[in-house]
Amino acid sequence: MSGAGGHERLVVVGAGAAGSRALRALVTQKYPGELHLVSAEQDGPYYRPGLSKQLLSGSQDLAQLRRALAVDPVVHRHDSAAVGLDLEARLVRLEDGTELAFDRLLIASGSVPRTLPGIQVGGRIGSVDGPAKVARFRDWLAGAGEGAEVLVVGAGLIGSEVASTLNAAGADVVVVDPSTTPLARALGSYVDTLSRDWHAEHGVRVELGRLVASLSQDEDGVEAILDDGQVLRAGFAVLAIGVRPATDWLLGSGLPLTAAGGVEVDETLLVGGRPDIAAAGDVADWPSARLGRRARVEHWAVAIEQGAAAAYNLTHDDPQPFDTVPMFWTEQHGRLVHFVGHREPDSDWVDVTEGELPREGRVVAAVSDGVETGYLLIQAPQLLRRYQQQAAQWSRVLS
Amino acid sequence: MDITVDMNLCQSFAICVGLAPDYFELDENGDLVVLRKSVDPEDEDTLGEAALICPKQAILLEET
Repeated sequence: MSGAGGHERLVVVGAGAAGSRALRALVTQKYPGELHLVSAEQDGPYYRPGLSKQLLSGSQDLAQLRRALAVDPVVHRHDSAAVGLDLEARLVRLEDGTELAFDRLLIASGSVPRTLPGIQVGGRIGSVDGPAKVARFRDWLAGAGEGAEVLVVGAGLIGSEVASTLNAAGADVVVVDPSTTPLARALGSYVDTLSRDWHAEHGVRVELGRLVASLSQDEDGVEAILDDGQVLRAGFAVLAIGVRPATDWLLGSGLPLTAAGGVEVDETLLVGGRPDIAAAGDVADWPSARLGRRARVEHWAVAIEQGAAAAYNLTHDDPQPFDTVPMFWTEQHGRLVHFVGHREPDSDWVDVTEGELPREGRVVAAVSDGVETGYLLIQAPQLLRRYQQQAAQWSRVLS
Repeated sequence: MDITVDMNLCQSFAICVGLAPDYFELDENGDLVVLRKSVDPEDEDTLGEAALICPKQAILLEET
């Protein structure tokens, strides 16, 4: 590690996948300066994807979801939100008034949930974007008992997982989404269709292409009026309408942000002209050579890879271009789904399953211009490694 | 550093197999097998990544 003197300070903003991975790498590499972590997460770092799965189902508690993200004692922690960045003075302003000077900065502040205009969260309208919110919803669910009626607003990745988890817990679930293909953006059109089949098979009612025009609550529960006039009543409403980059604290700092709110970085995840600043995880908008375009990915596994790469590039004189064969997974209605590689909105999906797989496993290739660019594994984790290697052979540059 | 996998939690997502094939594999039934319990110092960072990424947070690493 060069250029890193013993008196310098590296600040990581965000304690999610990217920030945690970066700090682990820096601690392991014995980074000689001071390490600081800025995070407003009151509960400390934990496995966030578990919010809509194990924490909601109750199969694991918060202590279990914290184990792999324990912060090394050498890291100085600041339990306050970052609210501003001064590029010239090289300091991060915290909500508690602290001005934290840095020599190197990793921006890994993740995402914040989107909100619906005119809808107040509280009472019987909640969300699952933090452990306290999940706990509050679970308290209501326990009181309501079997057959509790829940309205899930949003049928994207989190909404679908919430619906699946609640369905397994015996709740009576209705999901509403304005899109007719709500999972296509996050998971591709094939999974989108499949997920709808699984919801139907398990008795989850799905109302697609429908906007929630109003959502109100009284002492008996919630009432949603959809844009076609349908009235849906339930005991509780969970909002799961997606996230946006948590970069409001960077507005006005002069740091380049994209229209979607991502931090614009170069192929090494460093900010152009500022080798002392990097971004990783949900916030990082970088030029992917494999894809042949800029990309921003909101998946736990990619955030981890970027955290490690950004930590290296911030502290070495030979920054390496970052690229990835993205991988993500979801679990819905008891099915394990993995996707590795790339896909386009107009990709064809071709079943490439060889022979008969256990658990009715399937492998489906995303095909673009006649080339297999990614693979969807349904109930086939034993083939993950093989298809990761296969997906790695494709790149936009080569094809 | 030692590896323990909580088999009550593990659902064989196999992400760890892709990351650290010297330490993890799936058997013919699709169940996870830990090949080596003791982690070489140069692999500690990778195993830490495996624990962080595990969808069931079933991989436990203990300092020895």
